Amino acid sequence: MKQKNWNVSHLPLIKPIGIASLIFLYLPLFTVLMFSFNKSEDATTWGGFSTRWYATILDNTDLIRSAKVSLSIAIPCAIIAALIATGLAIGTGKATGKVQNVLRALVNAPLVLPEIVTSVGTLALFSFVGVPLRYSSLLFAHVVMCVPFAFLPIRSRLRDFDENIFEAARDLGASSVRVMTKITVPLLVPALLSSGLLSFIISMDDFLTSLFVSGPETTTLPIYIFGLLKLGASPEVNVIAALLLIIPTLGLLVGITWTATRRRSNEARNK
Amino acid sequence: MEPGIYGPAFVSFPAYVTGVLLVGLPLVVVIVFSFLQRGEFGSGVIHKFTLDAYRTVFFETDLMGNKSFNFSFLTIIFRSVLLAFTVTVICLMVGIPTAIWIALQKKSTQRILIALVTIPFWVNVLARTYAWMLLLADGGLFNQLGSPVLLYTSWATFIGLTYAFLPFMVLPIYASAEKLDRSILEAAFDLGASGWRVLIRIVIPMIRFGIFAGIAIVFIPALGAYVQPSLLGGNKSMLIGSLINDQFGESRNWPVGSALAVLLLTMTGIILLATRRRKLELAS
Amino acid sequence: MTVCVTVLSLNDISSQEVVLMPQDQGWADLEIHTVSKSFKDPKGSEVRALDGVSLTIPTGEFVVLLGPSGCGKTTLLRSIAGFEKIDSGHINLGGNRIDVMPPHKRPVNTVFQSYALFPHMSVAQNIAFGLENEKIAKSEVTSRVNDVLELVKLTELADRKPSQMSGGQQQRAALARALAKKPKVLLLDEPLAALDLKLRKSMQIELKRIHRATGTTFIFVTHDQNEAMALGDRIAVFDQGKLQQVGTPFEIYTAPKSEFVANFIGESTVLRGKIAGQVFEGDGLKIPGLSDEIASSSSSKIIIRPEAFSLIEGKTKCGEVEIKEVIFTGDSLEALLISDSGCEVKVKSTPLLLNKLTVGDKVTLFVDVDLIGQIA
Repeated sequence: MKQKNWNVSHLPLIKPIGIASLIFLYLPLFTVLMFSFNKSEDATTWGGFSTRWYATILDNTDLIRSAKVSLSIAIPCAIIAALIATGLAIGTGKATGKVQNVLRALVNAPLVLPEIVTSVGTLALFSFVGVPLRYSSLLFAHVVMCVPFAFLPIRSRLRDFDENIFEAARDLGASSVRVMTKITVPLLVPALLSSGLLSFIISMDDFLTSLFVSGPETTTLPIYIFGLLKLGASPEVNVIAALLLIIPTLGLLVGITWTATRRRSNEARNK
Repeated sequence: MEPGIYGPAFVSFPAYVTGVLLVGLPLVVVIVFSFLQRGEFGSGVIHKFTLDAYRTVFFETDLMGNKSFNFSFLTIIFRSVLLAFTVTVICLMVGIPTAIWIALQKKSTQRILIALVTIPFWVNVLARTYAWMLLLADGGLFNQLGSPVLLYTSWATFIGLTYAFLPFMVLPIYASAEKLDRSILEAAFDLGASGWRVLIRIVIPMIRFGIFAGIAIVFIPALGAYVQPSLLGGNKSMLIGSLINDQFGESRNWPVGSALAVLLLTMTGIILLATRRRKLELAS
Repeated sequence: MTVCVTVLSLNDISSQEVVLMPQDQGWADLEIHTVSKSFKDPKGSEVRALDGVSLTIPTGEFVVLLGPSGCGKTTLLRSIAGFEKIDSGHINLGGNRIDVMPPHKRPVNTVFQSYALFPHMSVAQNIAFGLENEKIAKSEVTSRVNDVLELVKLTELADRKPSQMSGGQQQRAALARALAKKPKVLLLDEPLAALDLKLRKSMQIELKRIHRATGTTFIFVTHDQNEAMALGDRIAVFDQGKLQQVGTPFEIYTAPKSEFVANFIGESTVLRGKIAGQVFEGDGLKIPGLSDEIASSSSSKIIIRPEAFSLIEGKTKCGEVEIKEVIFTGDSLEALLISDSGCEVKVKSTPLLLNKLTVGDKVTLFVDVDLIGQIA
């Protein structure tokens, strides 16, 4: 059977499954959103629309405290991880030595190994060496986890550039340090921002590593929320979950529209 | 060290140092701990070499001192592998069509759809898992539509994991699929091939790198998952992740926990080698 | 070879002349001594990119490295610049060994095929970058930037960013950036490849002008033989990592030393046969009266350019040929002829013969024996 002007519907089941999976992805999210406005005290059965439970959030000092702890880790973590990842990208370039490959695989390992293994390992290491579980140890653990993620936007942006540009800088007499400071880093600034943002989100969201490596003083937001969830559904948790949904989504939408408008203005300018 | 083209080589040293100290060393310590003795009162370890941890995992000794093959730990391991495998398969069956569907739209639509697929990824896994706690609860939506209460059963864990990992499967496959040359598909249709044939004989082989990547990205974390079994499965049917957490927590047997982690690490290593070798074979 | 260099003090550099200070004779002579380099290709086997290449380039010469893709010309260029490490041999510049120096220390600058301008800087800043890497006072940096901008005629675009310029303008900016540092040798890696024909031809003239004005040694890589012959004082022809022949364009064209060079540059007919008593016999043709420079040999190869043949009475008769193909190109007539033994002969003649030649006819072939070259 010859098909002229074929389109995607000619490939069987592709379109229905695609649409179904989007629905599957969003149904639970809408449910949480909806139920955060549930009037009833029974969190799982709908009893009418109300915003009453949102008001209770601000009274929850434990929640606020854990959020502060998370922020105090995530912000430094984002900066440090972005810097370390940038150093890695710049320092290794296209090198392919055996030793370098092994080291790079190690740095990337948190991306590839199950988090339970890396978090248990970090706990074991700290215990073995005698490092107490406090703020700085948690920060280190987060940084290590975020570096492989922070690395991706930077490497991707470096690859976008004509290699000759960096060779030209050397050719014109710049030492490798000057190439880095005058050429590479200025060109990497947008990637640094996305790198930092990515690390921030990963650190804020992290649960498993924080669970193992945190001490009594460093209860992060996800750890606190997990504790609540273990007790089962409740209207307060509905609101917290909904907020965990709304805030990143809004942030992403803002980010996407911002990059889209920048792209459009760049295209218009270059015409 | 030779400077690279982007800058001096020494700026990569902080990354190497953190990699060795905080990734390499922890793994080494875990392996070492698995060969050590359980500490007094269960906390920490005593630095004495023993195979007790592995014995506990694989064998059990009853009160008479008779050794028999320990099924409880192995059952858990097997169950985890089976679960991870099933989750991966379902994610493949849903993810591959979805990725292809998105890749065949026009560019502006593609961007919107991929953004839609990516958004759940940014929502904290706890919130996404909680959503299923609501849906599958007694009196929740699924229950009200006639299904039995699924919360705190293995089904709930399964659904929660599939839900969490679906975007991880779609994105790498999409990355492969969007590079597809559409004129090849047109040519295939022009030569009279049916939709199924084009799909199976042409599209899927051409995106197989994305598929392999997706399999690795889903299967490995699914093996070691902790959050979903803990919140949705209710700890009735344990998995490796919860077991390890338990050994480092309540059960206070760090060597056993480490031994289990070593096992998990080994399984991960096997899968990584398998996917990497297939990639190399196909590349040459 | 001595190059005449105009002596000007730094203070009165006129707009057209950014000139090098005179120094000892040979101060910028480039000597390439038996340089070899191998790469590992994706399959793992070794590829000899450069195979024992030796070449001496006197100060101020415009040399073209010519050859097909993969012949090693770009590898040699990059080795001189310092982006490739050579496996054996050495490279001297002005008597100093440079192949062990890192690229930023060599008094050599490159114009890249992709221009490689820094996208986040204006043209003036691009040019100043190289100067800032030396210990030069800020005021002098500015004046040198202006001078070189005038040299390449880009003064009005000094503050533009590369993305706001055309290909030709970017090319001149890249040239200016490299020249600003007054290198002993300027390396150009197929810089005109991305330009359209008309622009390329005008840039070729510009390049010659700038070369004369600065007196710098230019080493120019291209695969286009017309470009090579138009630009080079001398041409170095490469094939598969080996230097095949070096000479002026005239020498290369009229006296190619190998079949490869003969076929790579211009069209040619290569005839095989024996030479005795200054008479060539082979491939269905017999050519008497060869010049004394041509040696006797029992299996020789001679090369004859299309325009050395003729179909009109006048030169030496060499045989009867059948017309296989006739192509009219406006300013000439190109004919493909077959000798009695089946050998193809390429002939270029006046277009006025067009109506006198029909495919399948047999005609007499004549040749100018003074223009015959011997390869073997």
